[in-house]
Amino acid sequence: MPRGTPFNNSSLLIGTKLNLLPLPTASKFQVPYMLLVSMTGDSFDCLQFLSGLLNTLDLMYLLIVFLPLLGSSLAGFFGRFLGSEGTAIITTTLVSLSSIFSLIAFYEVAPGARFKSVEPVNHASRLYAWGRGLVVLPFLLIQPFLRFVMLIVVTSISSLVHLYSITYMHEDPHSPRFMCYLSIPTFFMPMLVTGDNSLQLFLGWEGVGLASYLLINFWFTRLQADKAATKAMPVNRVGDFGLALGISGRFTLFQTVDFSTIFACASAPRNSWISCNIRLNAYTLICILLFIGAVGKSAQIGSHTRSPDAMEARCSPLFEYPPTALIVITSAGAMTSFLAATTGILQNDLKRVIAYSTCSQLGYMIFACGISNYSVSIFHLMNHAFFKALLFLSAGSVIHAMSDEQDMRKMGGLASSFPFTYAMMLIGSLSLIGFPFPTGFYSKDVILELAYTKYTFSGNFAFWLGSVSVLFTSYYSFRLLFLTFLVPTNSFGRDRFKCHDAPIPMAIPSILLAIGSLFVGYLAKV
Amino acid sequence: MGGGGGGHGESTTYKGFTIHHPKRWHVVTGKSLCAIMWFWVLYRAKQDGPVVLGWRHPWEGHGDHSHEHGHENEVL
Repeated sequence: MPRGTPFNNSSLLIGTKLNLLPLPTASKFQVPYMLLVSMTGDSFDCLQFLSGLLNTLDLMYLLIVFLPLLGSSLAGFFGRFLGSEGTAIITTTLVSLSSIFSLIAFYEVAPGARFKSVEPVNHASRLYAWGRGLVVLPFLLIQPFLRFVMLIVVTSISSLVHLYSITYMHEDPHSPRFMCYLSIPTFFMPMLVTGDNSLQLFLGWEGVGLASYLLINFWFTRLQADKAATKAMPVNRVGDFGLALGISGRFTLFQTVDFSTIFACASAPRNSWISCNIRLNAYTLICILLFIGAVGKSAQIGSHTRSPDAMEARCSPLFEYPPTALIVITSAGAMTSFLAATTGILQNDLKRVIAYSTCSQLGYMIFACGISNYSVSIFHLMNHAFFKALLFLSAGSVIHAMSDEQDMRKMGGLASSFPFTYAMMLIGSLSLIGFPFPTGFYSKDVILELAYTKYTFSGNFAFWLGSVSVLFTSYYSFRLLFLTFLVPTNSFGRDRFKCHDAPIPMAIPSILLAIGSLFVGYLAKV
Repeated sequence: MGGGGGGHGESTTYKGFTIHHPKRWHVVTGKSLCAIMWFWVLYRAKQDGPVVLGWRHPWEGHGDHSHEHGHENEVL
């Protein structure tokens, strides 16, 4: 009798013919073992095989979320023993596996838009069988279509960043700690987007803020890094406070934190008033508080700005009821895109220009949510992830090659020395400004069209500010390209003496992101 | 940055200022990707340009079926 597996369905053991073959006890070999049996032509129950496969796929959904946490834990606790290369390989491999599982799960869910739930009880029994004393969080993963889009974007971009960082941080003695910090948001963001309740969303929200603080403050001996991290944390907390109040308000109103219950009850007519000596419509107040959370998160400088949009789209059924909240969101998003763009045209630091550009594009996503086009906002988020990651990686390559010089006015003429990086920056910039027909064009054009055809005051306000923001985006993007690559050189001779273009481990993620910056928009356009 | 195919090619020094020439694969890869980008832009411009510029509705089709002589009057 073959030895048992953690799976409850004993019919997976496929009959007595398998007695001739040793059956591995570890369940992770179950699926390839079954595939081997099927290829040998032995008869077995196909339904039992599929059932076992599905049980394995259930675990796969959990692994998508928890593999980065495992990598982060290993790098954080055992980095001293594993070394720089060991932690880099482990974290990159685990995040890449998470990305591959996301693609498999998307393939499973997307064609039939099948609703997939992972019951915690089954997994508790399995995990308990594997390792006694494991703590299993009582959460439920719900995987609708858009959630998997987010998972693919997060895990794939993160795996490319991990791969890039192996070489970029090669000479840093604190590389294991960096790889640990890099995997933390890769865990918390999927945790945020896959939850079915406000508590899990809040957990992921706080975790992303923590990860942002840790990464900003990585070089803690630098005073500027300490000041930036110290500023970022309380600004983030202001938004988190708004989010916490919004979640509390929802609980007060609906007596639950479960999204499906809240959305089902939201359509019921009610005149709920939350009184603090002020008469306020409950829905409007709650939605504005939730939006304050998004605003607080977007004040972060960095590339991880997916959280606000994930939260907005996740709570979209509730946001549809108070029109006042939608107008506030549209106006705030449009003003953010405009103000960030005007700030970006005045920056001389290479990374600050791209950071303010990120904030401006985030404004587009927010006002797209404000005009009730949540899927378009997610579409722009996905596109933006590709070309913005490409721009940041290329900028990092330039800065590192120029001996950490970040001022664009002290560069110039680098196109002849960095032809590959220049090509990457050009592709990313053209996609960013919405030049026809790279990726960014398809989402930016749709957002502006939808704002214009809203035929409301807020829609027109967003359209005109968004259009002027496009003008400023084009200006600072080409200013960046010209000052860095095309004008006669203004750099020190010692910097040009040591500079060289990106090595292959840094070039591969850039090439993949460049391909995404060109084709993803057309392939995924709505 | 370490090795792994990085570094630079030959160098040129003029009046104490040295410029390193990039490696051949950097030049080839960069030019190839830019070429792919422009080919894609021009291809999509040919396919979707009239629609983007407002000269044609998206549902009107390309209208370049001159080689199909027997289908001129066919109602689609």
